[in-house]
Order: sequence, then structure tokens, then C-alpha cells
Amino acid sequence: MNKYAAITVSRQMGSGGTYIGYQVAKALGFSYVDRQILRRAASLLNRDEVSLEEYEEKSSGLIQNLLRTFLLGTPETAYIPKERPIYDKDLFLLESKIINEIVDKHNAVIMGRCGFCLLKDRPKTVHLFIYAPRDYRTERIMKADSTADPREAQARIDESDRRRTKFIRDMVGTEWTDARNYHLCVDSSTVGLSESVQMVIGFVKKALG
Amino acid sequence: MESYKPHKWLVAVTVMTGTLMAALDTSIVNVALPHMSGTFGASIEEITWVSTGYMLSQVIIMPIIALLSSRFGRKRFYIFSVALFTCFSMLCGVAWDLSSMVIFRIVQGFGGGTLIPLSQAILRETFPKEEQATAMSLYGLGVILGPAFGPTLGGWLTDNYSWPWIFYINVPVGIINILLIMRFIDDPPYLVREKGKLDFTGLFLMSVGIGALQIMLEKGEQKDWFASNMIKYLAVAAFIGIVLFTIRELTTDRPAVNLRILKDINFSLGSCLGGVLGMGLFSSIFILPLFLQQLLGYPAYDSGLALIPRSIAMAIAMPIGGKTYNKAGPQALIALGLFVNAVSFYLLSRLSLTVGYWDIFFPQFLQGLGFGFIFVSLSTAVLSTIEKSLLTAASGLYNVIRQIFGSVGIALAATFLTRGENLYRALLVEHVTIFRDVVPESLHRLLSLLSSQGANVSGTDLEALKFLERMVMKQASMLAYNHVFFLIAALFLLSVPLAFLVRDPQRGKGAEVMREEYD
Repeated sequence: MNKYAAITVSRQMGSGGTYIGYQVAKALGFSYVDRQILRRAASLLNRDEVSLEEYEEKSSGLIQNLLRTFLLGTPETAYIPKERPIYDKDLFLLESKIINEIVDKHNAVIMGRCGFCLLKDRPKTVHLFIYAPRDYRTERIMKADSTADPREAQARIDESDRRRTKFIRDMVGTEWTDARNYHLCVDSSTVGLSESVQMVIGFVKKALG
Repeated sequence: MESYKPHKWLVAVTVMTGTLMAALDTSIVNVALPHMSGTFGASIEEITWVSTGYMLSQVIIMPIIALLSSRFGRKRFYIFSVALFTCFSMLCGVAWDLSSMVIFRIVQGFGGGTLIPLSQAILRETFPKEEQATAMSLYGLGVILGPAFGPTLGGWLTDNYSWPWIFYINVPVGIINILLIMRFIDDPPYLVREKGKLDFTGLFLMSVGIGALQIMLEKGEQKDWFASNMIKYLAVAAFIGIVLFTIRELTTDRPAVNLRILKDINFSLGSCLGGVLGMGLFSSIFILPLFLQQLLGYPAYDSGLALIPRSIAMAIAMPIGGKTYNKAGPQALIALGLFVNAVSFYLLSRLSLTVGYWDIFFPQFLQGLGFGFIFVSLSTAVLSTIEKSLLTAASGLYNVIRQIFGSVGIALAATFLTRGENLYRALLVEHVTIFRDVVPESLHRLLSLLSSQGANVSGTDLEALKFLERMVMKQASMLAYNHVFFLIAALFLLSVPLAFLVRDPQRGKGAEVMREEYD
């Protein structure tokens, strides 16, 4: 019987999902869990957090995975780097374990990392998806990055969407944007972030009882 | 911190060029050794220095790269290294005797040894976080292409031009590389200039100890081992050098090579196996081209081509090993690799003078699989029990051990080969007497053949005997090669039990979280 509740937040880049997740956690007194997962994985793998970040929530192609092994060099090369090659799937599995350990011990809001799939059938769990139209997200990214060029922001958004879609499809075999994966999908541009936060809090309170 | 340059791909090309040059020079030379041996009138043992000199100089420079780089500035140090490598490449091409060649190779190794680690560091800083994986993939490609195509390129250059061209080819590439570095690479502003002390004493003692050991192994057979005073002096020098080096590195505050890490049993065990890997790999890389060219009459290019199956198999096995590491575990993969290698060398030990290409292909392919499985899993497991602050030093020590054992392996292979040739010749000659019917019959056939070819009748007896001698010598050499391959096979097989003692506590690690981390 699960003692603790969990809320997973999947979000599109620029939709304000991170803000919403944080505010919900704060309001409900839950642990907000995002970067800590990577930090914990880095500690367990004896790696630098920054160097591990490049592998997170990514699904590399076959060639890239192949070439990743060759980072070690060959037996003939005099120099072998200290870092072992990290494969996306291995990191994903480790982070999945970390997430499961967290929700077994805390009330937590888990940001991203296929949380909605990992905790799919877990009782006392609510899965949220935060999204917004591309233009809205572009504007928010431009403001955050202090850039005047919308194309740069759009390129980042498109790349992020593409990467996350591929990651989730490859790791858990489902479509990221399929509403059936979630209990609640929120278009944050409709009522703004603050109202979205209140809506989500209300829904979660009712859902968790 | 990261610095993102718009011309990051030019930086990538620049450092990749350096990486490729350094990686190529490890293997490009081996197929040309029989030709060099002829040019310099050097024996097999003597010519080993062309390979081992390069390897050992890399061993010496590697522990101090970080310090030199931060002391003099990375860009400046990189340019200096490329310039050193390039200049001494050219000098290797014009070497007039074995001594000059070896000296130039040693200095070339000082330059070459720095290029690969510096290239990786520069790439990491140049590319943003989200493109690091791509940048590192390119780096990996460069590192693997060098040893894969080095022998073939070396063989082609040797056959179509001459062996000095395997060195001359570095010159235009090196010059272009220097120009690219000057134009596109800058030191990051946050790079701290360290003024730490270099452990020259430790490096000197290591050079003396290992150098004396190498010379002893090279000269031993020729001087009849400990019957010679020279060998005795070298043995004493090697012993004292190594002991003093060990004491120095264990007692000094900032050792060049941190031997204290050997306290970690898993690391020591893994390094032992790394040494076995180095011995088997480098000795086979050294003697296989000799075997193919001198015994089977392969041109240098063909002997280079014959080594490609191993590179291809390694390129297949390494990713498989990497992907299955967490499931299969290091013990299974290392043991499998050692066993497969034992089989491959055993197959090589069964070769004869009438073998075809596929008789070479299959053992080479197996070897590549074996080395691939061992290399990836061992490189991962050996560092898994080392704390993060010591990882750089541990990785350096592991590399040093691998390379030293590799150079000792080359020396031993050459020694056993020469010894074996003498031994088997003596054994075979015992059976080549006029009291065995087959011998006069063979001589008679040879005489008839020579006469039919138009040879001078008065000289045919001697020619026939010389021919017979060459046949005996060739057969003795074949047996000697078989013997050496068999020894390497035995080395791998006997190492299999050690594989089951290696562990990786990080593998499939649980994710125990501390409650207070998330409150």
C-alpha cells in the first residue's frame, strides 16, 4: 500500500510546466524533484553531473551509440579517458530506479523523465501534461533568453520537442503527447500560469483525496 | 564553463587531425619494420625499439601532460607538441642508422603522446553541452580509424614509395595542423596556470628502470643472458631503477605516477589483466607483419590488409561489449574475451608455410572480437572502485601499465622468436643428414632443378645446399612463430580465472536515496 503520493509533470519546453510543477509542489508541501535525479545518478555513477547532463532525456541513434563506445579509444591507443561511456538507456534505467525510490519515501512532484510511464499504475499518483501553442512558447523562450530573434527560440523549441518525443518513444514505446497517458492536460496559454497552477492544485487535491 | 565558437567544426577538424596523426603512428610503423630492419641491418630484437621507444616515451610524457599544459598554456603546449611530433617525424624519415631512428622515435612519442588527451579536452570545451555527444563521437571515430587503417596505409606507402614515407606523410599534415591551431584554437579564460612541481625524479627513475629492462630483454638472447656482464648490469639497473621509482612514487607528495592507487585490489587486478592485454596485443601487432612478410612473402600492403579483420571485429565487439556490460557484467565479458583470444592465438600457432589468406583472416577476426570484449569491459571495471578525485591518476596509471607491459611483450616476443629460430634450426638440422634417404633424394632433385634452370654445373652443389639451408631456416622460423603464438595463447588462457575476480560495484547499481536529500 503506497503511503506517499506522487505527481508527475511532463511539459513542453516554454509552456511554463517547470514553474507550474514547482508551485504545485510548494503549495501541497511535496518535494520538488528535478535536477536532484541527475545529481543522484552522477553520484552513483561516479561521474560529473555536468558531463552526464548531455545524455539525459536523450535517445541517441545507432551510429552515435556506436561511436560513443569508441570514446575509450582502442587497445592500441596510449591514452584511455577516465570516463566510461554512458548509454542513454542505462542512464534512463538508473534514473527510473531513483524515481521509484524517491516516491516510495516522499510525497513528490517528479519533473519529466517519463515519470508518467514509470509510475503508470501506481495508486495515489497523478500524471500531468503541460503544453501550449508554439507561438506562446516562442515568446516565453525569447523573454527567458533575452533574445530578439524568434527563429532561434523556435529552433530550440522544435529541437526539444523532437528530442523528447524520440526519447519517450524509444524508452517506453508511447507517444509523449498522447492524452491517454495523463490524468490532466493543461494548455497553460489559455488562462495563464497562475490560474493554471490553481487549477492543477484543485484537481490534484480532488484526485488524491 | 564552456566556450562556444561559431567555428567549432573547424576546431573539431583541427584537433581530429592531431588525434588521427597520433593514433596512426602507433600502428603505421609495424608493417614497415621488416624493411627498416633491412635498411639498418638490424635484428628482430633491435628493430623492436622503433615501436617500443615510441610507446615508452608516451608513457613518460602522459603523467605530466596536465601540469605542462596548465603551466605553459594549452594552446602553446599543443602547438609545441604537434611541432615536435612533425619535426621528429621528418627526422625519422631521414634517420641514417638504428640509433638515430630510435632517438627520433622517442622524441616523436613525446609529441604524439600529448595530442590525444589534449584533443579531447579542447573538444569538450569548444562544443556546447547539447552537442558534446556529437563532438565526442567524432573524436571516437578519429581514434579508432587510426589503428584500423594505419597498417594498410603504412603498407601501401612502403610498397609504392619507401618506408620513410610513413613518417614524411606527417609533415604536411602537421604543418597544416599547426596553422589551424594558431587560427582557431584559444585557451579558455578560466584556465588556471598551475605552478606545481613536476616529479622529474620519479620520471627519471621510471625511464632508467624500464629502459634498462627493455635493453636487457632485447640484448639478452644475443649476449647469452646472464653469462654476459652487460646483461647483469642492466638487470641490476632495472631492478634498482624500478625499486627506487616505486619508493619515490609512494613517498613523494605529488608523484608523477600515483602508485598508492594500487592498494585498491580491484584496480590492481584489472591493471594486471590490462598488462596481459597489452602484452598479447602489442606482441602480435609486432610479429604478425614480420611473419606475413618474411615467411609468407606478403608485400607490406597485403600484410597491412591482413590486419584489417581484427580492426573490423574490434569495431563490432566494442559496442556490443559496451551495451551488454550492465547485463552480462565485466567478469563474463573479460573471461569471454580472454578465452576467444586464447583460441585465436592457438589457431595462429597451428599455421604452416602453405597457409592462405583465410587461415589468417579467421584468427585475426577472433582476435578483434576478443580484444574488443576485454578492452571495453576492463577499461570500465578497473576504474569502478576508484573514488572520483583519483580517477584521473588511476586512468593514467592504468594506461602506463598497459603500455609498459605492451613494450615488454614486444621485446619478449622478439627474444622468443630469435631463440626459437635458433633452437628449432638446431633440432631440424639434426634430421638433415646424408644418412636419411630423403635428404640425398631432395638434394638430387634440387641439383636437377638448378641444372635445368641453366645454373653453372660446378656451383650447383653449393647452391642446392644453400637452398636446403634456407628451407630449413624457413621451417625453423615457422616453428618459432608457432611457439610464440602458442605462448601468447597460454598467457590468455591462464589469465581467464583472474577475470572472475574483477568486479564493478557501480554496475546495475541500486538507487538508494537519502531521505533528507528530497525533504
